[in-house]
Amino acid sequence: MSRPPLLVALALRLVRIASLLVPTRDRHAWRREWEAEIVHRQVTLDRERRSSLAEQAVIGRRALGSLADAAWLRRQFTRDSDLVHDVRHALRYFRSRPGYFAFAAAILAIGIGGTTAAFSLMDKLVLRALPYPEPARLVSLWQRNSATGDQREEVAPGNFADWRARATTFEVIAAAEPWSVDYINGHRPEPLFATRVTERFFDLLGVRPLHGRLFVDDDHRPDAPAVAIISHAFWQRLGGDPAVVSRPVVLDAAPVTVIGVLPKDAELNLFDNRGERDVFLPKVLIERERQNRDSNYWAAIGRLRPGVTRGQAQEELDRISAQLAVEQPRTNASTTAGVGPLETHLMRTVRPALSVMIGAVVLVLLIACANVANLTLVRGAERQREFALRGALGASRARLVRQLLTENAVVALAGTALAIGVAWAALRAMIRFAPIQERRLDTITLDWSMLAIAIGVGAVTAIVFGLAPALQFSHRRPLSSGHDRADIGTRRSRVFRDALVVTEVAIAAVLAVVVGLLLRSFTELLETHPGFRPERAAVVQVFAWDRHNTPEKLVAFHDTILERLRRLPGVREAGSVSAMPFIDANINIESPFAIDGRAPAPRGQEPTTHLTVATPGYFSVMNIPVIAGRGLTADDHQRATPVAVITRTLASKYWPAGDAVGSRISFRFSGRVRNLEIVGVVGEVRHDALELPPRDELFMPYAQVPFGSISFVFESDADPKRLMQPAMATVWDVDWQQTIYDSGTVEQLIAASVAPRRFALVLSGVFGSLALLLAAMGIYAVMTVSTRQRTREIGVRLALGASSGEIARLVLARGLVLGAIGLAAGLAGALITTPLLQRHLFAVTPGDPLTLVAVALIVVVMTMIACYVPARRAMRVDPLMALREG
Amino acid sequence: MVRALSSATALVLDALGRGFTHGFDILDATGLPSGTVYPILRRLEQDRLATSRWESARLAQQEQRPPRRNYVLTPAGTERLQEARERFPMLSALPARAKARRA
Repeated sequence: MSRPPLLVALALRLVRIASLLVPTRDRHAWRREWEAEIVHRQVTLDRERRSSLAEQAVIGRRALGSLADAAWLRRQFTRDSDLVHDVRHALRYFRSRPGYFAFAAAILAIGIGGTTAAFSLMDKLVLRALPYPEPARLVSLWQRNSATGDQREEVAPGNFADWRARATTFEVIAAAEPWSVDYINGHRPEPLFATRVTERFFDLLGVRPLHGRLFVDDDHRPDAPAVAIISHAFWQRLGGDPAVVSRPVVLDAAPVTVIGVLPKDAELNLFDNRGERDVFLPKVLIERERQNRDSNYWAAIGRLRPGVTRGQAQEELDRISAQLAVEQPRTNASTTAGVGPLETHLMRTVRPALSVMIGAVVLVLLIACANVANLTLVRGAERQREFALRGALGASRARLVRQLLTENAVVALAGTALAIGVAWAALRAMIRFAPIQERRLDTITLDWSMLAIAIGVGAVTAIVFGLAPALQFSHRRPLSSGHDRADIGTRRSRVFRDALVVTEVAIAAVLAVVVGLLLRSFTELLETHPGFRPERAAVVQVFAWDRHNTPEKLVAFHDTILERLRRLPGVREAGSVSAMPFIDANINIESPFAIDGRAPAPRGQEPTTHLTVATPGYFSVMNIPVIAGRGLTADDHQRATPVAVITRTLASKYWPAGDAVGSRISFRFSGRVRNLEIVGVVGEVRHDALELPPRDELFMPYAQVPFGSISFVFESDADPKRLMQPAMATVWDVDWQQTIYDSGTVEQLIAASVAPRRFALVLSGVFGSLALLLAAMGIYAVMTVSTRQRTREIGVRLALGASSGEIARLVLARGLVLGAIGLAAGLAGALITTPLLQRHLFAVTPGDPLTLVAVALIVVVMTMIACYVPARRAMRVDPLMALREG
Repeated sequence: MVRALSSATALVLDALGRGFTHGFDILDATGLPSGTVYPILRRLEQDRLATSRWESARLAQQEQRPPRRNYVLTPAGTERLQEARERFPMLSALPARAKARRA
């Protein structure tokens, strides 16, 4: 043929392209066939002089069909390819063993999903840097008190001012003062948690405002106009309109201009109490505060200069503290400064839970991997015969390896898909039980890179161990095990598998001991008597100074509400106290005192006590017993002799002879020196947390010392929750603009105080249960296989007259031996590792015998349950069948 | 394996039975598109209802073109054709059209 016409040339080109689709084996012939047809047709047309554009178009159209032809051949080929073949083989194999498939996929899902959820949480809370630039240079600063042994106190304003003026290792030091403002929401006053921050606080962090601007130095001048920066959440409550900026809001009954809105992720939980900070105000440091080194309540942060280490900053602060100790001996003799990473400070509430969890997660993943390894080894052992046969029929080792890889990949894929669901559910659960003060938790989502890592670990385990049978296969002559069913798996591989199960049980036992100890600590904690009986008590807290600014007004406000509360239907008794146990925002006043008739203690070493104001009703509502002398009564009115009662701990510390009643003490309170007679000793109360010792406390009668911080407490004759609304309405009836700061039943307050522990417990509980479940699955798998392996032996025994009970015992005994070895190793491991838990424990020793016994029982019962199905199966073995098959 | 007989397969069988042996000739004879006919030919060959051979190189050289592949029915294929003719009686009406196209 001479040079072909364009359309025919295109047709030939098309065929050549289409030929690329054709499997290599057939490609050459295929192309020749098509080309021959096209060329033949053209040659014929030429010869018959019928070549026309129309005829050439027919050729072109037919050449298009070559694509369909080639594609068809490719499909045929692919369907027969090894990969597709392997996948189909694997699916067929699993369809006949749905139990095994579900089992393996479930183990992978639990291991991968649990790990991913845990790491997603940790990543957000611990591992990820703060959402501020150069977080390594951010530090928090605090005071240490060598006299009280308190390693971490907030900072006194005067000390802060000196640190800021003298330190050179910091670019900026700033402080935050906890504050609150009243905001009228509709027609009900509402407290907003606020923070007053010193100069360049936000610059130090590197926060950029979402809208508007941050504070500048001029905003901190005493005569500057009132401005505020609001949180993202509060901005949303105000409507989320950028125009909020430069508009005034009314806070504490005065207009304040909003100048900026913080971005959503700029949360900064510097203080210990619940609740988020919604309003930030510029702090104006006044002279009185500069001199205040007694009360420490500021949170200080700093940004180190580039290149400065925390150690250098610490050295400098030590030097400054030494200077201050000389300059201000009364207040600073025993005060030093501490510096540490800001992140550590921010994470203090969740970190204990997380460190327990990190350990638990790693162990659970280990167990899951051991389990998967075991399962695939077991399955491989079972299939020795199949592989031997296929080898004999000519399958190469590579071919068998490829098939196993495909099977394991199918399991890994299914497990992974499930794992995403597991991870999601686990994460939701963990967030639900997290201590409430961590708003950052809301933004946690699954961490896909963590998921990828976990999947990698799981899949590699599945695949590597899944290859074992193919590798073992090469060590044997192909048909040697062809008819020997009892010989499934070599002795060596059996020992290895048993070792894996023992390891699993051991790890699970360690985790179970940890969970047990935490659980015991938690229950012990809940059973700790706080010193009062909380069942039916509830509280409504107000700060009344602002709106009732003379002692007379305060007393009138206080007495009216108390009287009306007493008359509320369902209220048995009501009282008030200035510092309510388990409430966050308390005015806690700790002050030195002197005992009349004794030599004054040296400066800085005076005895101290908490000073509290209460009414007689407080003691009866809270069921605080009078131990000596008398309690406060209605007779301790304004004109009566000034009296006080003290707690038993305080009495025994300073009046060990029991002569506290009748002695007189003096101290400063509310700006006046008071001299009071101690008329009684009452039971001590745990004030801030159940795990902390009760505090020394001195109570003065409200009538003699009117005070603005008031927590009204009342006892109801039924569920106190019902009375919360009426009680709050009572306060508002007396003054509709009075803000209620905190309210709730006393039981709720205590529950909130144990929330971080509950979080740790839930987390470790989840992982401990997973570990036990996985270990049980491991025992089950091994027992199932070993029973199957011994079918013949069991058959023989049955034929020789063994009862089915004896057979069941045989299976059970072996399972229990494995379980017992694992348990022993686990308990030994627990004794070594649990001392690390010491600081998470309360009233329980790391080697708590009750916990160890309970864990041992659980492991034994779990082993028996795991052996139950294999034992049943063994009992049902038909001796005839077993012998014939064997 | 005996596959269900489609009308397109019946047409191809019929064409083969009437002595059309090359791909494009079968296309002419059946009027079906090439994307349909070729896979049918492949399948017939797979099912051993037809076999293919390459024509002699000498003949092709004489005509200055590459050798073509031709398909013929096997005995099984012939049987299958009979079934097809019974199932699709109108097959016998088709040759007229094919011949007309060839003319």
